[in-house]
Amino acid sequence: MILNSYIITYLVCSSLSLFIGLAVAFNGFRIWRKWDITSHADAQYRLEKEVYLIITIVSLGFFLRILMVPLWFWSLYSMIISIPGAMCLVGVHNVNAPYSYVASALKLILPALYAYWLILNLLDRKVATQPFMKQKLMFLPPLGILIVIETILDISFFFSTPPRQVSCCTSLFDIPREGVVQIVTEATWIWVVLFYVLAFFVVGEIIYFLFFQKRSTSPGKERWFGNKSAMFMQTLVIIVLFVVYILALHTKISPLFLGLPFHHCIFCLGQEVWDALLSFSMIFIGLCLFVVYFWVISSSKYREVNPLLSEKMVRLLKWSGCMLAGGLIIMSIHLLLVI
Amino acid sequence: MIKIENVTKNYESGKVRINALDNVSVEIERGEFVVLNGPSGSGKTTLLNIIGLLTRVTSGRLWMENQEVSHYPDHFLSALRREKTGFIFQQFNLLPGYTTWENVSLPLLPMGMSEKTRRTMAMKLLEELNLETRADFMANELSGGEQQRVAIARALINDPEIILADEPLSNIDTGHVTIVADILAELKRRGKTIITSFHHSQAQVDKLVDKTFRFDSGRVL
Ligand SMILES: Nc1ncnc2c1ncn2[C@@H]1O[C@H](COP(=O)(O)OP(=O)(O)OP(=O)(O)O)[C@@H](O)[C@H]1O
Ligand SMILES: [Mg+2]
Repeated sequence: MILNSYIITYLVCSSLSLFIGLAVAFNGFRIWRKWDITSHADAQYRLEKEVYLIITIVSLGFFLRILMVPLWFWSLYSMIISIPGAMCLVGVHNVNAPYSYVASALKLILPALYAYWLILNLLDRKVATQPFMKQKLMFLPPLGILIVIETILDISFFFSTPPRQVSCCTSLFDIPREGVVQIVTEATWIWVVLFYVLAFFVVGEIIYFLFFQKRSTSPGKERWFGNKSAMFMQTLVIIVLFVVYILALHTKISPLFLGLPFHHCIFCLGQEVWDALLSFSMIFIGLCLFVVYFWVISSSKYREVNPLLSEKMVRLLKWSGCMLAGGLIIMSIHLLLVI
Repeated sequence: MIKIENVTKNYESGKVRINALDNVSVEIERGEFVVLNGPSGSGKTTLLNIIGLLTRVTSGRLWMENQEVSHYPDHFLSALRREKTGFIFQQFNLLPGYTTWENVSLPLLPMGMSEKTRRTMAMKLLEELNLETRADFMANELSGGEQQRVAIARALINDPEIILADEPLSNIDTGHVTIVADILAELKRRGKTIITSFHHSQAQVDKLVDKTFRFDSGRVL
Protein backbone atom coordinates (compact mmCIF):
# COMPACT_ATOMS: atom_id res chain seq x y z
CA MET A 1 0.00 0.00 0.00
CA ILE A 2 1.25 3.42 -0.96
CA LEU A 3 0.30 6.43 1.12
CA ASN A 4 0.83 10.05 0.20
CA SER A 5 -1.07 13.26 0.82
CA TYR A 6 -3.31 12.80 -2.25
CA ILE A 7 -4.26 9.29 -1.29
CA ILE A 8 -4.86 10.18 2.33
CA THR A 9 -7.06 13.14 1.32
CA TYR A 10 -8.90 10.88 -1.07
CA LEU A 11 -9.44 8.23 1.58
CA VAL A 12 -10.78 10.80 4.04
CA CYS A 13 -13.26 12.08 1.43
CA SER A 14 -14.13 8.54 0.50
CA SER A 15 -14.94 7.60 4.12
CA LEU A 16 -17.09 10.69 4.42
CA SER A 17 -18.82 9.84 1.16
CA LEU A 18 -19.46 6.30 2.39
CA PHE A 19 -20.89 7.64 5.62
CA ILE A 20 -23.15 10.07 3.74
CA GLY A 21 -24.20 7.35 1.30
CA LEU A 22 -25.16 4.94 4.05
CA ALA A 23 -26.87 7.58 6.17
CA VAL A 24 -29.11 8.77 3.33
CA ALA A 25 -29.74 5.20 2.16
CA PHE A 26 -31.03 4.03 5.54
CA ASN A 27 -32.96 7.16 6.33
CA GLY A 28 -34.30 7.47 2.81
CA PHE A 29 -35.67 3.96 3.01
CA ARG A 30 -37.11 4.48 6.49
CA ILE A 31 -38.89 7.70 5.43
CA TRP A 32 -40.03 6.10 2.16
CA ARG A 33 -41.83 3.38 4.11
CA LYS A 34 -43.69 5.81 6.34
CA TRP A 35 -44.26 8.63 3.88
CA ASP A 36 -47.93 9.60 3.52
CA ILE A 37 -48.57 13.04 2.10
CA THR A 38 -52.26 12.89 3.05
CA SER A 39 -51.52 12.37 6.72
CA HIS A 40 -51.76 15.23 9.20
CA ALA A 41 -50.06 13.26 11.94
CA ASP A 42 -47.16 14.90 13.73
CA ALA A 43 -45.05 11.94 12.62
CA GLN A 44 -45.53 13.00 8.99
CA TYR A 45 -44.35 16.55 9.78
CA ARG A 46 -41.29 15.11 11.45
CA LEU A 47 -40.60 13.09 8.31
CA GLU A 48 -40.88 16.27 6.27
CA LYS A 49 -38.28 17.92 8.47
CA GLU A 50 -36.05 14.89 8.05
CA VAL A 51 -36.38 15.15 4.28
CA TYR A 52 -35.02 18.69 4.46
CA LEU A 53 -32.04 17.29 6.34
CA ILE A 54 -31.56 14.57 3.73
CA ILE A 55 -31.61 17.18 0.96
CA THR A 56 -28.86 19.10 2.73
CA ILE A 57 -26.77 15.98 3.23
CA VAL A 58 -27.20 14.83 -0.38
CA SER A 59 -26.15 18.29 -1.62
CA LEU A 60 -23.06 17.98 0.53
CA GLY A 61 -22.50 14.49 -0.84
CA PHE A 62 -22.73 15.81 -4.38
CA PHE A 63 -20.02 18.42 -3.82
CA LEU A 64 -17.88 15.82 -2.14
CA ARG A 65 -18.29 13.49 -5.12
CA ILE A 66 -17.30 16.29 -7.51
CA LEU A 67 -14.20 16.94 -5.43
CA MET A 68 -13.40 13.24 -5.39
CA VAL A 69 -13.15 13.01 -9.19
CA PRO A 70 -9.88 14.96 -9.55
CA LEU A 71 -8.67 13.67 -6.19
CA TRP A 72 -9.01 10.09 -7.32
CA PHE A 73 -7.18 10.64 -10.57
CA TRP A 74 -4.47 12.70 -8.87
CA SER A 75 -4.04 9.89 -6.37
CA LEU A 76 -3.59 7.41 -9.20
CA TYR A 77 -1.24 9.78 -10.95
CA SER A 78 0.83 10.17 -7.80
CA MET A 79 1.30 6.41 -7.69
CA ILE A 80 2.98 6.14 -11.08
CA ILE A 81 6.49 6.59 -9.69
CA SER A 82 5.99 3.85 -7.09
CA ILE A 83 4.74 1.21 -9.49
CA PRO A 84 7.40 -0.50 -11.58
CA GLY A 85 6.51 -0.36 -15.22
CA ALA A 86 3.76 2.24 -14.89
CA MET A 87 4.13 5.30 -17.08
CA CYS A 88 0.61 6.60 -16.99
CA LEU A 89 -2.73 5.73 -15.41
CA VAL A 90 -3.10 2.58 -17.49
CA GLY A 91 -0.21 1.04 -15.60
CA VAL A 92 -1.69 2.14 -12.31
CA HIS A 93 -5.03 0.65 -13.24
CA ASN A 94 -3.30 -2.59 -14.15
CA VAL A 95 -2.33 -3.09 -10.52
CA ASN A 96 -5.69 -4.72 -10.15
CA ALA A 97 -7.57 -4.50 -13.40
CA PRO A 98 -10.41 -4.85 -14.23
CA TYR A 99 -11.74 -3.74 -10.81
CA SER A 100 -9.73 -0.56 -10.91
CA TYR A 101 -11.47 0.41 -14.13
CA VAL A 102 -14.85 -0.16 -12.54
CA ALA A 103 -13.74 1.99 -9.60
CA SER A 104 -12.73 4.76 -12.01
CA ALA A 105 -15.99 4.50 -13.92
CA LEU A 106 -17.92 4.81 -10.66
CA LYS A 107 -16.06 8.04 -9.96
CA LEU A 108 -17.88 9.52 -12.94
CA ILE A 109 -21.17 7.68 -12.54
CA LEU A 110 -21.76 8.53 -8.89
CA PRO A 111 -21.70 12.33 -9.18
CA ALA A 112 -24.00 11.95 -12.20
CA LEU A 113 -26.46 9.95 -10.09
CA TYR A 114 -26.25 12.53 -7.32
CA ALA A 115 -26.90 15.24 -9.88
CA TYR A 116 -29.97 13.35 -11.09
CA TRP A 117 -31.24 13.17 -7.50
CA LEU A 118 -30.69 16.87 -6.91
CA ILE A 119 -32.38 17.86 -10.16
CA LEU A 120 -35.34 15.61 -9.34
CA ASN A 121 -35.44 17.21 -5.91
CA LEU A 122 -35.34 20.70 -7.35
CA LEU A 123 -38.33 19.87 -9.54
CA ASP A 124 -40.12 18.12 -6.69
CA ARG A 125 -39.86 21.19 -4.50
CA LYS A 126 -41.53 23.33 -7.15
CA VAL A 127 -44.79 21.40 -6.78
CA ALA A 128 -46.89 21.48 -3.62
CA THR A 129 -47.79 17.81 -3.83
CA GLN A 130 -44.10 16.82 -4.01
CA PRO A 131 -44.85 14.26 -6.71
CA PHE A 132 -41.36 12.75 -6.89
CA MET A 133 -40.88 12.30 -3.17
CA LYS A 134 -41.23 8.51 -3.07
CA GLN A 135 -39.13 8.10 -6.19
CA LYS A 136 -36.51 10.39 -4.70
CA LEU A 137 -36.36 8.50 -1.42
CA MET A 138 -36.27 5.10 -3.10
CA PHE A 139 -33.34 6.16 -5.23
CA LEU A 140 -31.14 6.55 -2.17
CA PRO A 141 -30.67 2.89 -1.11
CA PRO A 142 -29.31 1.75 -4.50
CA LEU A 143 -27.07 4.82 -4.49
CA GLY A 144 -25.80 3.77 -1.06
CA ILE A 145 -25.13 0.23 -2.31
CA LEU A 146 -23.15 1.59 -5.27
CA ILE A 147 -21.04 3.66 -2.89
CA VAL A 148 -20.38 0.58 -0.76
CA ILE A 149 -19.30 -1.34 -3.87
CA GLU A 150 -17.11 1.57 -4.87
CA THR A 151 -15.49 1.69 -1.43
CA ILE A 152 -14.75 -2.04 -1.54
CA LEU A 153 -13.17 -1.62 -4.99
CA ASP A 154 -11.14 1.37 -3.80
CA ILE A 155 -9.86 -0.48 -0.77
CA SER A 156 -8.97 -3.59 -2.75
CA PHE A 157 -7.17 -1.29 -5.15
CA PHE A 158 -5.17 0.64 -2.59
CA PHE A 159 -4.31 -2.48 -0.63
CA SER A 160 -3.39 -4.75 -3.50
CA THR A 161 0.32 -5.39 -3.95
CA PRO A 162 1.50 -4.29 -7.34
CA PRO A 163 2.88 -7.10 -9.47
CA ARG A 164 6.63 -6.95 -9.95
CA GLN A 165 6.10 -5.26 -13.26
CA VAL A 166 2.84 -3.87 -14.65
CA SER A 167 2.29 -3.46 -18.32
CA CYS A 168 1.45 0.05 -19.38
CA CYS A 169 -0.02 1.81 -22.34
CA THR A 170 2.87 1.46 -24.74
CA SER A 171 3.17 -2.29 -24.34
CA LEU A 172 -0.60 -2.76 -24.28
CA PHE A 173 -1.84 -0.55 -27.05
CA ASP A 174 1.07 0.44 -29.22
CA ILE A 175 2.59 -2.93 -30.04
CA PRO A 176 0.09 -4.61 -32.31
CA ARG A 177 -0.90 -8.02 -31.08
CA GLU A 178 -1.84 -9.31 -34.46
CA GLY A 179 0.86 -7.59 -36.39
CA VAL A 180 0.14 -5.21 -39.19
CA VAL A 181 -3.56 -6.04 -39.39
CA GLN A 182 -4.14 -4.51 -36.00
CA ILE A 183 -2.45 -1.30 -37.00
CA VAL A 184 -4.64 -1.06 -40.06
CA THR A 185 -7.88 -1.70 -38.21
CA GLU A 186 -6.93 0.62 -35.42
CA ALA A 187 -6.02 3.24 -37.90
CA THR A 188 -9.53 3.33 -39.34
CA TRP A 189 -11.75 6.30 -38.93
CA ILE A 190 -14.77 4.11 -38.47
CA TRP A 191 -15.29 4.84 -34.76
CA VAL A 192 -14.75 8.54 -35.18
CA VAL A 193 -17.25 8.62 -38.01
CA LEU A 194 -19.72 6.53 -36.05
CA PHE A 195 -19.23 8.79 -33.05
CA TYR A 196 -20.02 11.90 -35.09
CA VAL A 197 -23.08 10.28 -36.65
CA LEU A 198 -24.44 9.27 -33.26
CA ALA A 199 -23.48 12.56 -31.63
CA PHE A 200 -25.28 14.56 -34.32
CA PHE A 201 -28.24 12.26 -33.94
CA VAL A 202 -28.34 13.02 -30.21
CA VAL A 203 -27.91 16.76 -30.79
CA GLY A 204 -30.84 16.51 -33.21
CA GLU A 205 -32.82 14.69 -30.56
CA ILE A 206 -32.08 17.36 -28.01
CA ILE A 207 -33.31 20.02 -30.43
CA TYR A 208 -36.41 17.97 -31.17
CA PHE A 209 -37.17 17.53 -27.49
CA LEU A 210 -36.52 21.19 -26.85
CA PHE A 211 -39.33 22.06 -29.26
CA PHE A 212 -41.47 19.22 -28.01
CA GLN A 213 -41.01 20.34 -24.41
CA LYS A 214 -41.79 23.96 -25.25
CA ARG A 215 -45.09 22.96 -26.83
CA SER A 216 -45.92 20.24 -24.35
CA THR A 217 -47.99 22.45 -22.08
CA SER A 218 -50.85 22.54 -24.56
CA PRO A 219 -53.12 19.51 -24.12
CA GLY A 220 -52.64 16.36 -26.16
CA LYS A 221 -48.95 17.09 -26.71
CA GLU A 222 -47.55 14.86 -24.01
CA ARG A 223 -46.85 11.60 -25.74
CA TRP A 224 -43.33 11.16 -24.43
CA PHE A 225 -44.31 11.57 -20.81
CA GLY A 226 -44.38 8.50 -18.61
CA ASN A 227 -42.89 6.41 -21.40
CA LYS A 228 -40.55 3.91 -19.77
CA SER A 229 -39.43 2.18 -22.97
CA ALA A 230 -38.40 5.51 -24.49
CA MET A 231 -36.36 6.07 -21.37
CA PHE A 232 -34.60 2.71 -21.70
CA MET A 233 -33.97 3.27 -25.38
CA GLN A 234 -32.54 6.72 -24.76
CA THR A 235 -30.33 5.52 -21.94
CA LEU A 236 -29.09 2.74 -24.19
CA VAL A 237 -28.41 5.15 -27.07
CA ILE A 238 -26.40 7.38 -24.75
CA ILE A 239 -24.43 4.44 -23.36
CA VAL A 240 -23.68 3.20 -26.87
CA LEU A 241 -22.66 6.70 -27.90
CA PHE A 242 -20.37 6.89 -24.91
CA VAL A 243 -18.74 3.54 -25.68
CA VAL A 244 -18.25 4.60 -29.31
CA TYR A 245 -16.77 7.85 -28.05
CA ILE A 246 -14.21 5.93 -25.94
CA LEU A 247 -13.36 3.74 -28.96
CA ALA A 248 -13.00 6.81 -31.17
CA LEU A 249 -10.70 8.42 -28.65
CA HIS A 250 -8.68 5.24 -28.38
CA THR A 251 -8.34 4.36 -32.04
CA LYS A 252 -7.87 7.70 -33.70
CA ILE A 253 -8.20 10.80 -31.63
CA SER A 254 -5.53 9.95 -29.03
CA PRO A 255 -2.80 9.25 -31.58
CA LEU A 256 -3.74 12.36 -33.55
CA PHE A 257 -3.92 14.71 -30.59
CA LEU A 258 -0.82 13.29 -28.95
CA GLY A 259 1.07 13.48 -32.21
CA LEU A 260 2.34 9.93 -31.77
CA PRO A 261 0.86 7.77 -34.53
CA PHE A 262 0.91 4.59 -32.47
CA HIS A 263 0.07 5.92 -29.07
CA HIS A 264 -3.55 5.08 -28.28
CA CYS A 265 -3.70 5.88 -24.58
CA ILE A 266 -6.74 7.84 -23.44
CA PHE A 267 -5.22 8.53 -20.04
CA CYS A 268 -2.13 10.08 -21.62
CA LEU A 269 -4.49 12.15 -23.73
CA GLY A 270 -6.36 13.41 -20.67
CA GLN A 271 -3.11 14.11 -18.90
CA GLU A 272 -1.39 15.98 -21.70
CA VAL A 273 -4.05 17.63 -23.85
CA TRP A 274 -6.14 19.87 -21.67
CA ASP A 275 -8.74 20.75 -24.29
CA ALA A 276 -9.36 17.05 -24.86
CA LEU A 277 -10.09 16.73 -21.14
CA LEU A 278 -12.35 19.77 -21.30
CA SER A 279 -14.31 18.47 -24.28
CA PHE A 280 -14.56 15.05 -22.64
CA SER A 281 -16.05 16.62 -19.49
CA MET A 282 -18.49 18.75 -21.47
CA ILE A 283 -19.65 15.86 -23.62
CA PHE A 284 -20.05 13.68 -20.53
CA ILE A 285 -22.07 16.33 -18.67
CA GLY A 286 -24.21 17.05 -21.75
CA LEU A 287 -25.05 13.37 -22.20
CA CYS A 288 -25.78 12.92 -18.49
CA LEU A 289 -28.19 15.85 -18.48
CA PHE A 290 -30.03 14.42 -21.47
CA VAL A 291 -30.39 11.09 -19.69
CA VAL A 292 -31.60 12.95 -16.59
CA TYR A 293 -34.24 14.65 -18.74
CA PHE A 294 -35.52 11.28 -19.87
CA TRP A 295 -35.41 9.76 -16.43
CA VAL A 296 -37.53 12.64 -15.15
CA ILE A 297 -40.15 12.70 -17.91
CA SER A 298 -40.51 8.92 -17.85
CA SER A 299 -41.80 9.10 -14.28
CA SER A 300 -45.46 8.11 -14.09
CA LYS A 301 -46.08 11.23 -12.00
CA TYR A 302 -44.54 13.61 -14.49
CA ARG A 303 -47.44 14.05 -16.90
CA GLU A 304 -49.72 15.83 -14.46
CA VAL A 305 -47.09 18.28 -13.25
CA ASN A 306 -45.56 19.10 -16.64
CA PRO A 307 -47.22 22.54 -16.89
CA LEU A 308 -45.52 23.56 -13.66
CA LEU A 309 -42.12 22.16 -14.54
CA SER A 310 -41.90 22.60 -18.29
CA GLU A 311 -39.84 25.76 -18.08
CA LYS A 312 -37.24 24.05 -15.91
CA MET A 313 -37.13 21.08 -18.25
CA VAL A 314 -36.52 23.35 -21.21
CA ARG A 315 -33.61 24.84 -19.29
CA LEU A 316 -32.27 21.37 -18.54
CA LEU A 317 -32.34 20.50 -22.24
CA LYS A 318 -30.66 23.77 -23.16
CA TRP A 319 -27.83 23.03 -20.75
CA SER A 320 -27.55 19.52 -22.07
CA GLY A 321 -27.43 20.72 -25.67
CA CYS A 322 -24.93 23.51 -24.96
CA MET A 323 -22.59 21.21 -23.08
CA LEU A 324 -22.69 18.50 -25.72
CA ALA A 325 -22.38 20.92 -28.64
CA GLY A 326 -19.62 22.86 -26.88
CA GLY A 327 -17.64 19.69 -26.24
CA LEU A 328 -18.09 18.58 -29.83
CA ILE A 329 -17.00 21.94 -31.20
CA ILE A 330 -13.84 22.02 -29.10
CA MET A 331 -12.95 18.50 -30.16
CA SER A 332 -13.73 19.12 -33.82
CA ILE A 333 -11.65 22.28 -34.00
CA HIS A 334 -8.67 20.44 -32.57
CA LEU A 335 -9.30 17.55 -34.92
CA LEU A 336 -9.42 19.87 -37.94
CA LEU A 337 -6.17 21.48 -36.86
CA VAL A 338 -4.25 18.21 -36.72
CA ILE A 339 -5.47 16.54 -39.89
CA MET B 1 -60.94 33.58 -0.15
CA ILE B 2 -60.12 31.73 3.04
CA LYS B 3 -62.14 28.65 3.74
CA ILE B 4 -61.82 26.46 6.78
CA GLU B 5 -63.61 23.16 6.58
CA ASN B 6 -64.15 20.90 9.58
CA VAL B 7 -60.85 21.83 11.10
CA THR B 8 -59.77 20.13 14.29
CA LYS B 9 -56.54 20.92 16.07
CA ASN B 10 -55.24 18.85 18.92
CA TYR B 11 -52.18 19.59 20.96
CA GLU B 12 -50.51 16.70 22.64
CA SER B 13 -48.03 17.19 25.41
CA GLY B 14 -47.15 13.90 27.03
CA LYS B 15 -50.33 12.13 27.96
CA VAL B 16 -52.50 15.21 27.96
CA ARG B 17 -54.39 15.88 24.79
CA ILE B 18 -55.95 19.28 24.31
CA ASN B 19 -58.64 19.80 21.77
CA ALA B 20 -57.92 23.43 20.89
CA LEU B 21 -60.26 23.50 17.87
CA ASP B 22 -63.11 21.11 17.40
CA ASN B 23 -64.58 20.73 13.94
CA VAL B 24 -64.54 24.41 13.04
CA SER B 25 -65.81 25.65 9.67
CA VAL B 26 -65.41 29.29 8.74
CA GLU B 27 -65.41 31.25 5.51
CA ILE B 28 -63.82 34.62 5.04
CA GLU B 29 -64.08 36.77 1.90
CA ARG B 30 -61.47 39.11 0.51
CA GLY B 31 -61.54 42.51 2.19
CA GLU B 32 -63.58 41.41 5.16
CA PHE B 33 -62.92 42.54 8.70
CA VAL B 34 -63.42 39.50 10.87
CA VAL B 35 -63.36 39.34 14.64
CA LEU B 36 -62.83 36.21 16.69
CA ASN B 37 -63.87 36.54 20.30
CA GLY B 38 -64.50 34.34 23.24
CA PRO B 39 -63.02 33.48 26.61
CA SER B 40 -59.38 32.75 27.27
CA GLY B 41 -58.34 29.34 25.98
CA SER B 42 -61.26 29.06 23.56
CA GLY B 43 -59.05 28.64 20.48
CA LYS B 44 -58.78 32.12 18.94
CA THR B 45 -55.01 32.16 18.73
CA THR B 46 -55.01 28.59 17.44
CA LEU B 47 -57.30 29.51 14.55
CA LEU B 48 -55.23 32.59 13.72
CA ASN B 49 -52.12 30.43 13.70
CA ILE B 50 -53.76 28.02 11.29
CA ILE B 51 -54.89 30.78 8.94
CA GLY B 52 -51.47 32.41 9.26
CA LEU B 53 -49.91 29.07 8.18
CA LEU B 54 -47.89 28.95 11.38
CA THR B 55 -49.29 25.64 12.48
CA ARG B 56 -51.03 22.82 10.69
CA VAL B 57 -54.42 21.25 11.23
CA THR B 58 -54.89 17.84 12.84
CA SER B 59 -57.74 17.13 10.47
CA GLY B 60 -59.91 19.09 8.06
CA ARG B 61 -58.99 21.40 5.22
CA LEU B 62 -57.76 24.92 4.75
CA TRP B 63 -58.25 26.72 1.45
CA MET B 64 -56.62 29.97 0.42
CA GLU B 65 -57.68 31.50 -2.86
CA ASN B 66 -58.96 28.18 -4.20
CA GLN B 67 -55.79 26.31 -3.30
CA GLU B 68 -56.00 23.66 -0.68
CA VAL B 69 -52.98 24.41 1.43
CA SER B 70 -53.50 21.95 4.29
CA HIS B 71 -51.05 19.49 2.73
CA TYR B 72 -48.51 21.99 1.50
CA PRO B 73 -44.92 21.26 2.47
CA ASP B 74 -43.08 23.70 4.69
CA HIS B 75 -41.19 25.54 1.98
CA PHE B 76 -44.48 26.31 0.22
CA LEU B 77 -46.11 27.48 3.44
CA SER B 78 -43.23 29.80 4.28
CA ALA B 79 -43.32 31.32 0.81
CA LEU B 80 -47.08 31.90 1.03
CA ARG B 81 -46.75 33.23 4.55
CA ARG B 82 -44.06 35.68 3.50
CA GLU B 83 -46.04 36.87 0.53
CA LYS B 84 -49.58 37.03 1.79
CA THR B 85 -49.78 37.37 5.54
CA GLY B 86 -48.76 39.76 8.25
CA PHE B 87 -49.06 38.47 11.77
CA ILE B 88 -49.31 40.53 14.93
CA PHE B 89 -48.63 38.16 17.80
CA GLN B 90 -50.35 38.32 21.13
CA GLN B 91 -46.92 38.07 22.78
CA PHE B 92 -45.35 40.38 20.12
CA ASN B 93 -42.37 38.02 19.57
CA LEU B 94 -39.91 40.83 18.87
CA LEU B 95 -36.22 39.97 18.74
CA PRO B 96 -34.75 41.48 21.91
CA GLY B 97 -31.17 41.97 20.66
CA TYR B 98 -32.22 44.10 17.70
CA THR B 99 -33.36 47.68 17.36
CA THR B 100 -36.91 48.73 16.74
CA TRP B 101 -36.38 49.48 13.06
CA GLU B 102 -34.48 46.24 12.52
CA ASN B 103 -37.37 44.31 14.04
CA VAL B 104 -39.84 46.12 11.82
CA SER B 105 -37.83 45.46 8.66
CA LEU B 106 -37.25 41.80 9.45
CA PRO B 107 -39.79 40.44 6.89
CA LEU B 108 -37.95 42.31 4.14
CA LEU B 109 -34.68 40.45 4.74
CA PRO B 110 -35.38 37.49 2.41
CA MET B 111 -36.13 39.94 -0.40
CA GLY B 112 -32.55 41.11 -0.63
CA MET B 113 -33.19 44.87 -0.24
CA SER B 114 -30.42 47.22 0.78
CA GLU B 115 -30.23 48.31 4.40
CA LYS B 116 -31.03 51.86 3.37
CA THR B 117 -34.27 50.90 1.62
CA ARG B 118 -35.28 48.71 4.53
CA ARG B 119 -34.66 51.47 7.01
CA THR B 120 -36.59 54.02 4.95
CA MET B 121 -39.57 51.69 4.72
CA ALA B 122 -39.45 50.91 8.43
CA MET B 123 -39.20 54.58 9.38
CA LYS B 124 -42.26 55.45 7.35
CA LEU B 125 -44.38 52.95 9.27
CA LEU B 126 -42.85 53.88 12.62
CA GLU B 127 -43.84 57.51 12.00
CA GLU B 128 -47.43 56.52 11.36
CA LEU B 129 -47.38 54.73 14.69
CA ASN B 130 -45.74 57.59 16.61
CA LEU B 131 -42.61 55.55 17.19
CA GLU B 132 -40.01 57.35 15.08
CA THR B 133 -38.11 58.46 18.19
CA ARG B 134 -37.75 54.84 19.27
CA ALA B 135 -36.32 53.62 15.97
CA ASP B 136 -32.84 52.93 17.33
CA PHE B 137 -33.90 51.60 20.73
CA MET B 138 -33.44 47.93 21.44
CA ALA B 139 -36.72 46.05 21.33
CA ASN B 140 -36.37 45.03 24.98
CA GLU B 141 -36.09 48.69 26.04
CA LEU B 142 -39.63 49.44 24.87
CA SER B 143 -42.78 49.52 26.97
CA GLY B 144 -45.48 46.91 26.38
CA GLY B 145 -47.64 49.30 24.36
CA GLU B 146 -44.68 50.36 22.26
CA GLN B 147 -43.75 46.77 21.58
CA GLN B 148 -47.33 46.16 20.49
CA ARG B 149 -47.09 48.92 17.91
CA VAL B 150 -43.69 47.73 16.71
CA ALA B 151 -45.25 44.31 16.21
CA ILE B 152 -47.99 45.96 14.14
CA ALA B 153 -45.43 47.80 12.03
CA ARG B 154 -43.53 44.57 11.41
CA ALA B 155 -46.71 42.81 10.27
CA LEU B 156 -47.49 45.58 7.77
CA ILE B 157 -44.07 46.21 6.27
CA ASN B 158 -44.37 43.77 3.36
CA ASP B 159 -47.85 45.07 2.54
CA PRO B 160 -49.63 41.73 3.05
CA GLU B 161 -53.12 40.97 1.75
CA ILE B 162 -54.16 39.24 4.93
CA ILE B 163 -53.50 40.76 8.31
CA LEU B 164 -53.85 38.56 11.33
CA ALA B 165 -53.90 40.44 14.61
CA ASP B 166 -54.03 38.56 17.87
CA GLU B 167 -55.38 40.91 20.55
CA PRO B 168 -53.87 44.01 18.98
CA LEU B 169 -55.59 46.38 21.39
CA SER B 170 -55.10 44.65 24.71
CA ASN B 171 -51.81 46.21 25.78
CA ILE B 172 -52.22 49.80 24.79
CA ASP B 173 -53.75 52.85 26.38
CA THR B 174 -56.85 54.54 25.01
CA GLY B 175 -54.91 57.17 23.06
CA HIS B 176 -53.05 54.53 21.15
CA VAL B 177 -56.16 52.39 20.72
CA THR B 178 -57.41 55.19 18.48
CA ILE B 179 -54.16 55.13 16.46
CA VAL B 180 -54.35 51.37 15.98
CA ALA B 181 -58.07 51.49 15.21
CA ASP B 182 -57.37 54.18 12.59
CA ILE B 183 -54.70 51.98 11.03
CA LEU B 184 -57.08 49.04 10.90
CA ALA B 185 -59.73 51.26 9.28
CA GLU B 186 -57.20 52.47 6.71
CA LEU B 187 -56.16 48.87 5.95
CA LYS B 188 -59.76 47.88 5.46
CA ARG B 189 -60.28 50.84 3.15
CA ARG B 190 -57.32 49.58 1.10
CA GLY B 191 -59.08 46.26 0.64
CA LYS B 192 -57.03 44.17 3.04
CA THR B 193 -58.51 41.15 4.72
CA ILE B 194 -58.23 41.57 8.44
CA ILE B 195 -58.76 38.83 10.97
CA THR B 196 -58.36 39.79 14.55
CA SER B 197 -59.20 38.53 18.00
CA PHE B 198 -60.53 40.52 20.92
CA HIS B 199 -61.43 39.36 24.40
CA HIS B 200 -64.12 42.00 24.65
CA SER B 201 -65.89 43.96 22.02
CA GLN B 202 -64.06 47.17 21.15
CA ALA B 203 -66.15 50.25 20.56
CA GLN B 204 -63.52 51.89 18.31
CA VAL B 205 -63.52 49.06 15.81
CA ASP B 206 -67.12 47.87 16.03
CA LYS B 207 -68.14 49.88 13.00
CA LEU B 208 -65.48 48.16 10.86
CA VAL B 209 -66.53 44.63 11.67
CA ASP B 210 -68.13 42.52 8.93
CA LYS B 211 -68.26 39.19 10.71
CA THR B 212 -67.83 37.99 14.25
CA PHE B 213 -67.15 34.41 15.25
CA ARG B 214 -67.71 33.58 18.88
CA PHE B 215 -65.56 30.79 20.24
CA ASP B 216 -66.12 28.59 23.22
CA SER B 217 -63.95 25.58 24.10
CA GLY B 218 -62.69 25.20 20.57
CA ARG B 219 -66.05 25.48 18.86
CA VAL B 220 -67.66 28.29 16.90
CA LEU B 221 -71.00 29.22 18.39
N1 LIG C 1 -48.56 25.03 21.55
C1 LIG C 1 -49.51 24.54 22.37
N2 LIG C 1 -49.31 23.36 23.00
C2 LIG C 1 -50.25 22.84 23.81
N3 LIG C 1 -51.43 23.41 24.02
C3 LIG C 1 -51.70 24.59 23.45
C4 LIG C 1 -50.74 25.21 22.58
N4 LIG C 1 -51.28 26.38 22.13
C5 LIG C 1 -52.50 26.46 22.69
N5 LIG C 1 -52.76 25.40 23.48
C6 LIG C 1 -54.01 25.14 24.21
O1 LIG C 1 -55.08 25.23 23.31
C7 LIG C 1 -56.19 25.88 23.89
C8 LIG C 1 -56.60 27.06 23.04
O2 LIG C 1 -55.55 28.03 23.10
P1 LIG C 1 -55.57 29.41 22.35
O3 LIG C 1 -54.24 30.02 22.53
O4 LIG C 1 -56.03 29.19 20.96
O5 LIG C 1 -56.68 30.21 23.15
P2 LIG C 1 -57.10 31.74 23.01
O6 LIG C 1 -58.53 31.73 22.67
O7 LIG C 1 -56.19 32.47 22.11
O8 LIG C 1 -56.89 32.24 24.51
P3 LIG C 1 -56.45 33.72 25.00
O9 LIG C 1 -57.63 34.56 24.88
O10 LIG C 1 -56.07 33.48 26.43
O11 LIG C 1 -55.31 34.14 24.16
C9 LIG C 1 -55.77 26.26 25.28
O12 LIG C 1 -56.31 25.32 26.17
C10 LIG C 1 -54.26 26.17 25.25
O13 LIG C 1 -53.76 25.74 26.50
MG1 LIG D 1 -54.80 33.92 22.30
